[in-house]
Amino acid sequence: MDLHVSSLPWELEEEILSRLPPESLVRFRAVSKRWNSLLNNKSFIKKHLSLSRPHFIFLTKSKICSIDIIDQTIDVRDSLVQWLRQVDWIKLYVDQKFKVVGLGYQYVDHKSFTRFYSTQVTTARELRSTSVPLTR
Amino acid sequence: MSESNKKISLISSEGEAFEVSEAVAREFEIVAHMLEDGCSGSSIPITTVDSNILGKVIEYCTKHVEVGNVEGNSEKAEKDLEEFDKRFIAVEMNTLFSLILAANYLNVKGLLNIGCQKVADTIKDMKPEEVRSIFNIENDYTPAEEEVVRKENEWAFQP
Repeated sequence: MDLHVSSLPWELEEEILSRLPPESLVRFRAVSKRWNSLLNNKSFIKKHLSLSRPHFIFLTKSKICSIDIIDQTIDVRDSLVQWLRQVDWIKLYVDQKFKVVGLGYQYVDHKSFTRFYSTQVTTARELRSTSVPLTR
Repeated sequence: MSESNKKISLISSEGEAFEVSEAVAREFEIVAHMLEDGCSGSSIPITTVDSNILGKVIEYCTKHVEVGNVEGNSEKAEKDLEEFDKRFIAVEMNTLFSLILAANYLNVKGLLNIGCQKVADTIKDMKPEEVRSIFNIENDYTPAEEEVVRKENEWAFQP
């Protein structure tokens, strides 16, 4: 099969890339310098997050789960350990009845992420979100 | 709307005329703007899109206008439209790229969206070198630089 196609304008490449899962984006850093630098671009990261589904990683004392929210149903899966390098953990207020150690949001690189936090982790409804650019 | 019976000819890059209803032509935002700007001509040249692709874009818009016109749109109609989109976009990469280019030029947002999503779904598990060949991208890394980038992001290369 001949897959070779004449080039798309850069803006359309960006449109396509913004629809890729984070793992593919990280792999495609190796495609070219331009693609690599796109992943360091704050407005691209913002666009990507706005198109991607919410995805959390949930850490309790005994277990790590990946939580995917698809069409208002919550899909909880056992740990996706490979994500852990890409996650920033936020210490939560520890509720005695609900033993949560941390709640992380999966993000694409180390420069920007969306932080979800809660003052009291009793119901999911109390989770609020803010977008916080993080510079390291 | 009585206007919806009005016919408009869209002329492809080869000069072939495609007669469509005004409602369908208005799905091309670029055409909608022309009409609003008082362009009253009944034939509109689409010089950058060839007959094959223009025909497909018209097919897409016609289907979406038809479904949009049904009163009290049912869930079934929506499902059907989703199925239509899925079949419509199941084309080889060259055609897909041409459709995306045309959708972008003509400003047909729905088609641009499903086209870009389809490419993303197709390439997501590929290797960087495969992606380069699809997008016709020259590798501007030196072998040493590329090695560094691959090392840094090693986890994403695991199968």
